[in-house]
Amino acid sequence: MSGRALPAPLRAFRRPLGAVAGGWLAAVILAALFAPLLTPYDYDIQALKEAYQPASARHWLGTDEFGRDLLTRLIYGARTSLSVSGIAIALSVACGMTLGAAAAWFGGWFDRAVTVVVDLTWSFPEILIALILVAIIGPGTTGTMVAISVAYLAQFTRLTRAQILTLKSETFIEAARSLGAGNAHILFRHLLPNALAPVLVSAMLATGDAIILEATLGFFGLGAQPPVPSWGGMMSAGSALVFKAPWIIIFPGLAVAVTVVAINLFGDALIAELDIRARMRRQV
Amino acid sequence: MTPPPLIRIEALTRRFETGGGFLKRPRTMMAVQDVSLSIARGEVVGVVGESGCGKSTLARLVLRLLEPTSGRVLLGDSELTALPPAALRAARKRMAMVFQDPYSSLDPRYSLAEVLAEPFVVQRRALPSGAVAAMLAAVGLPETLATSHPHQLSGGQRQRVGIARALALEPEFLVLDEPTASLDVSIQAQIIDLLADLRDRLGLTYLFISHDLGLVRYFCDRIVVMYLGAVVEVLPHADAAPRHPYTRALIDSGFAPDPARRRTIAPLTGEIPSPFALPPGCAFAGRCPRATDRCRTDRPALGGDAAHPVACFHPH
Repeated sequence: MSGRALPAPLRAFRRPLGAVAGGWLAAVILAALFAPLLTPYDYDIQALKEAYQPASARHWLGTDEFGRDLLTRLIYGARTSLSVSGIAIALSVACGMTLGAAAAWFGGWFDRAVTVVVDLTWSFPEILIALILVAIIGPGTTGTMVAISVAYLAQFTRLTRAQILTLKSETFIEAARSLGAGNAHILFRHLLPNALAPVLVSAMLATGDAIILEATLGFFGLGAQPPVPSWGGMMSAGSALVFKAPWIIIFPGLAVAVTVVAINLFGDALIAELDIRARMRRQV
Repeated sequence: MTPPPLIRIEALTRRFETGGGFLKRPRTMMAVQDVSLSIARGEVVGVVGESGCGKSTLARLVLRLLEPTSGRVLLGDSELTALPPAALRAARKRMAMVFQDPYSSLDPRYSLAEVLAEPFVVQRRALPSGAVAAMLAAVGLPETLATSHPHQLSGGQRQRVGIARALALEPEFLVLDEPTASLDVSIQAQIIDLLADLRDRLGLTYLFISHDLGLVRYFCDRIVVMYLGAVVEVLPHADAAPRHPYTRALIDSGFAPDPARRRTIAPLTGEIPSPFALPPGCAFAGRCPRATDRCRTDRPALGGDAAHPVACFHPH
């Protein structure tokens, strides 16, 4: 009974993997939020005399090819990577839930139209959709954000639509109707709240993928433009220097990998706590 | 002079069309066919029949959870089947339904207090203080359960919550759609006793849907027997001798608790006709031991004794 009192994201911390992963994520998010307070250096001031330094007491993770502190850039990079992918997924969830719920609710030609378009985009890999969109919109953080959110739109639309369709036929919906409930009450008090948990967990897992996608676009030079650091952009700069200064590519790479693994582990713990593993698969 | 009935069902019919598509004619299924029935205030009317005979569709038509293809339903003076949405919503205060499956009839995210407050929210009425506790007490549940969620309750407890929710707005008329079908036998008796007790205390009128003729005979004042969407017989009281061969077969198929009273059961043979393609004559003719040629060509209408009508050319 006492376990129900805590919200599921906090209960996920009671699982060992959930606690480790959640701890890492909390640390990264806090570091990104308070970056100016944590970092003694500027991310964009070049100090060429200090370039290519390995890790030391002065520069914990070393410096890059322009002598900028790598840890500072990594923390500011977390800001870019997390905010771009986070906002992109939030946008995608908002649009996808509206679209999926409307399709399931209204049915008919609207549902068929949405399903056809969504299935069409679903059949392309996200990276391809994102690349095409960035090519159209142009590189930069805004372009990347829009591209990522469109790339994941199909996933959330399908998931929401499937959830609402199954929930619609539940007896408690008919029971609410028999009491005199109108459409708004049924949609906002029964259908959407019940569909929310699986969609939010899948959004969290998608944020992990979105970080990789953002890093990929950044690696191609399509993401945040220099001197603003992003993990993908930093890896791209380091890729030419793998043998001369391997730390330049290794640390941002590690940051991406560990963060994405942490998101997935924490998401798994959440799914277990919410007991919605079966519902997460229902994405027809 | 008898008082006017609380519920009047007149020639209620519902057809479903399925499987229609491009260049494909939809198939029509006759779910409820020309059902007429009056229910007096305080009466308990049972509806029995095999699964798929249209009992549940009838229940939903009566409460207008489904729109009829034709026919009317009247609650007191108001014609439910003709009410505009706002008036229908107001009329829903006067009637309610208890559902078969107590596991899916409660929103898993709602606490019991929220479940029982929902009728008031939906009808935009203030929830009187202490109402939740009173509603729980009325169905024999402790007040402490108010903060629990449905998954923490047993099937019987959930069904009690379903009944409490149905009674929240003090309706006059309740449709009970197999309220005990998914419960253990020992729990079934408790729920039936609760329903009987509530009827006596609150002066309720029930339409009780069931496939269990024994239960219906125990609980109901009058019994409507349905076969493939149509009423074949209305028994005026629980012990009335069945006149329709189908009713007789239903009663004979029940087990008697006293071995001395057990007799050989003559099981029904033959298949139930598809509701998509009803035969021209009596729908039961193919399985009926008394069927003659006339039964296979003409459809018998519900008639004969007004107090005990039967739709059969060769009643017992």
